[in-house]
Amino acid sequence: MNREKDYEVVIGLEVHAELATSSKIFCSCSTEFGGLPNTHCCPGCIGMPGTLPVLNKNVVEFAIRAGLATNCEISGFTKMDRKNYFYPDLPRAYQISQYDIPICKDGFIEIEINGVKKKIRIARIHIEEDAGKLVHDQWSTGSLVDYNRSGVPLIEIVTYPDMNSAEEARLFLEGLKAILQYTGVSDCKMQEGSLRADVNISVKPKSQEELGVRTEMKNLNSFRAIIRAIEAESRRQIEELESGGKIYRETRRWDDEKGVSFSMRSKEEAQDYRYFPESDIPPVIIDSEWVEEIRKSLPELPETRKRRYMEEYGLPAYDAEIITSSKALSDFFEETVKNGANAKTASNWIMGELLRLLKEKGVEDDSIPFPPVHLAKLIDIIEKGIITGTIAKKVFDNMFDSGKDPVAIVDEQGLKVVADTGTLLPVVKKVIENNPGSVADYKAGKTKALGFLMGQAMRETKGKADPKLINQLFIEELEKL
Amino acid sequence: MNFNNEMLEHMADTARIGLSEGEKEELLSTIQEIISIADGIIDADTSGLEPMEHVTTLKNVFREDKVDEPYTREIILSNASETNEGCFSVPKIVE
Amino acid sequence: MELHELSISQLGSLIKNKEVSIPKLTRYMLDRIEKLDSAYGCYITVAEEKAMEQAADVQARLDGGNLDSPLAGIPMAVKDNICTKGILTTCASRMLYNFIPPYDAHVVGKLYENGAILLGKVNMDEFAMGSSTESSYFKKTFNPLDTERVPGGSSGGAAAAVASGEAIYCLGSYTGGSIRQPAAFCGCVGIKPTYGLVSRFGLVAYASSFDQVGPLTRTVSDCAMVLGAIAGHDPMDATSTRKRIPDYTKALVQDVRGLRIGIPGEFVDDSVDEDIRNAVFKAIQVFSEQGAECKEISIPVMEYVVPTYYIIALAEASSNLARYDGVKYGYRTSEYKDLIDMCKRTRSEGFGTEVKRRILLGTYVLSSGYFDAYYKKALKARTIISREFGRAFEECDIIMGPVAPTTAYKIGEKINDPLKMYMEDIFTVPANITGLPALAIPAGIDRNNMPIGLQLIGKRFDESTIFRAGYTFEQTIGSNWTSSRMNNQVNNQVKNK
Repeated sequence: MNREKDYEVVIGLEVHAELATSSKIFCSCSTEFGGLPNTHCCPGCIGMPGTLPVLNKNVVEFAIRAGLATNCEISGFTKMDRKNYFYPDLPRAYQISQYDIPICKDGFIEIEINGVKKKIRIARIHIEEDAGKLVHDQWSTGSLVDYNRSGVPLIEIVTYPDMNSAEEARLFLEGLKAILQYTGVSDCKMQEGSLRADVNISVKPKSQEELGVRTEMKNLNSFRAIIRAIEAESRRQIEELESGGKIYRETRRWDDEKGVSFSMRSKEEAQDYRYFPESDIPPVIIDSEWVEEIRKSLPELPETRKRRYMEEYGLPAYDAEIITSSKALSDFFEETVKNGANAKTASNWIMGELLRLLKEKGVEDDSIPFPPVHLAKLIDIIEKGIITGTIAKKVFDNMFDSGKDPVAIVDEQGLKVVADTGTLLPVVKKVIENNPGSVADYKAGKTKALGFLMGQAMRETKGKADPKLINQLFIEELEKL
Repeated sequence: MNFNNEMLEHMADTARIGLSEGEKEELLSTIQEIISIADGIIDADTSGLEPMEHVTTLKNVFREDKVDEPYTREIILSNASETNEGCFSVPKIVE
Repeated sequence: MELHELSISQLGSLIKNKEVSIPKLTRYMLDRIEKLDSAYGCYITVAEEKAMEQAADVQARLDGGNLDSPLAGIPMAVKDNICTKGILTTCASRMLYNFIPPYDAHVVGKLYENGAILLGKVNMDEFAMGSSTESSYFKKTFNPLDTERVPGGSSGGAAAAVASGEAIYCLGSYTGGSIRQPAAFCGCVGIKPTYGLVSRFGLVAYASSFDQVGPLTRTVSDCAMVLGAIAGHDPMDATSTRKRIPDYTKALVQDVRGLRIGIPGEFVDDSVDEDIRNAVFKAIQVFSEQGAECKEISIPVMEYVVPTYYIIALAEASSNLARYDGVKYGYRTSEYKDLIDMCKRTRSEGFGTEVKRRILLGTYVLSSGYFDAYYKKALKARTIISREFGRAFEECDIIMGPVAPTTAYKIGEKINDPLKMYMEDIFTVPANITGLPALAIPAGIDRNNMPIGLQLIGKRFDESTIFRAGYTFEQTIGSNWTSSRMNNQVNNQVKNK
């Protein structure tokens, strides 16, 4: 039996985000995702002799944006450094990164957990280049190197070990992701590798001041993996300590399928990167004017937008939180409302049916397959009573699959509400006739039976019957019996 | 500073250069001599000085964020010893 | 005089007046290379076909009135660590024995724009690491003035080709003294421009904060002309200057009145060969007679100059040469068990001893535990050295001295004594550490008839002043008098074959 509750878990994150620039950090190759291997390369990003790096201005600007949006201090003077190591995906055998003077430092993101606000401090944000990709060849006798990603610009965000649970880590990452998306700095798609996180984790008895030995978890390719890895590793460390064992400072590779991590302890642990300043790139001076220019151009940030939704649209905090967690989703929401929909109704549809379908069909929230105006129209015809609630869900599903206008769908499939007594009365009578048992129940005082009878009537009319009218007709007819 | 055979082997390892025994002997003595030249700066009075990290006095040299891709994959791979499926082919990395 | 003995402007006139056609001139040079190069070993690659194609092309451009450059039609050669599209660029190393770059270096492009004709790629020390061209994987280059002696290095092939008349001018490169020293050893003119004046794009990197490209020529005027064509901003090199490039040919006047020339005592001490010291004193006399103010100055930090240079240069080199691993281009070993093994063997077999030595040293001075004592300390020493030279340049317009403590030594004499070889760089290295421009010009011969090189160091981006002083000196002691003596020596060597 282990005494997990007597331990505190301490977590720090190292997050890499790919910058959403058009071209790479040091050359004019495209950063476009996908593409056949080695088709977005030049002599520079494959490290051919005689080539030189030239810094992409947007990379600096995006990094400053990220720093401002996370309350960081922007360095007035910053430079690039070389990090030297050998690996085939690193064409020059050094990565141009930043060592001792990162472009941003000492920021924070605020999360809210159990109603309490907590600041997760950011130690630094620095600029660096990504490496290429190594894949095993089909016979597994060797590996294949693709340098398309070599030179894609990244920012690395390093936090202090301020998080104490997987949930806090998740909230921090969600918050960071939203900020980076809102500021246009990165599209943060974990499945495309544009957002990656390594976790540094240690445990210590609550009574102890000193932090425990930490391990670094790698190969975390989704939020789910991050959470699972944190939970598994904290359990492993506690168990180890409880049984008198020792935690080694090591890197562990997470296997999400198996739900376990493996030690990567090897000679590479004691890597000496021999950092030294990059002479090919002159230093960067960032004056307060430039910072202000960028600050003024920052778009509305998630926190601000959330508050605005609560004030302007009267959304409850919970709704506002979910809607603003993704820029794409909140943009969609705003457009829907701009097209005439009631804010709360729109919010319900988005949080409910839309998110459900997106998840089910594996569609990203920035690729919603119909325009906001369609959702607004759907809400409108529901409000006007043109279709029933049941039918509305069907129309929504159809809208999602076909991208068609909801009004057109209703017309084409004849889904309008049926609300004339002439059509409905026979149905009511038929249902009463066919369900003597339920009728008897109702007469005996079981009002639930009415619901059943109504359900049958709705089935008969394929969901199109006006619920109010049906209800009224049933009551009248049943009275007569 | 003491540069001995162990250090030589460690540096050769770090720099990924294989050395034969004969080479090690020759390199060790000459490297030690040159380090004695390098040691010449030990006595330099550099107190209070900032390291001169860049020779150029230029600052803020940037390029515009524009895409220009004049090189085809064929050209990129043209000097490689071994290629396969449009990629550079390397032996397996022993994990 | 024969065609190969003429200066760029003299040849330019002949071409303009249609007294010689560009294809004919090019053919003449190619024939000369064929006749002489087995003796001197200047060329790694002779680009015969391309040169003749270019010659026809440039002739057409000239005839059509589409080309107006003093360099039009003049055949030249380029050091083999400067990338030439479609032409083998080996850096005199087995590691790049088959490397064909898909791009031209910026400087090569500029020369082509000016109608230059590329005869081929000339020999050098492997990856520019050396001072004698003896470490080339492919061949040795012999000093045309005495084939038992080295031509200097690392741009030895370039200097020798100019001296032997196998190219009208060459582009060399330097990191330490690799243009001035071979120029001095072979009796040519060579300039190391201010760091940042000439783009490094396409120059295979050795030490990024020192590397530069510069011309080797027979005369100061030729040097000024070529530099003017290759200097200037290049967006592909973030360290290249944005300054407007002056017309260096305007500096070619004989006027040094009032010019303040400082000669550091440290440059003429006992470590320098007596004949060379005398040549410097003679130069002081010449300049003084022409109206310059010469005085002795002191640069006490000279003792730190060589260690500072080597620590920084080798550190950068160890990083710049790490990319050679057999994966993307160049040599790959044929037998290996896994990736790391392949990498180690490739680098072991692909690099020569001097290169390995420098990489290992560079790795060492950057290693944790030694970084502060060596690399960081050297960066601070660089600050002192720059400051000292800055102070000296408040009292002087030019700092003058010999290029090297000796003239060309015998082949094999120093290659096994790297320590001695490294100390040879003592006078050329200060200009590299500080990024200042320095011109090497012939200033007489020693008792063995080997040329002595004089060095004129100027202020940042003040190439014009050192050209002016160099031109004055050259014209005063007799225009090309070393050249004609050189031609005689070379011709004698040729006859004795």
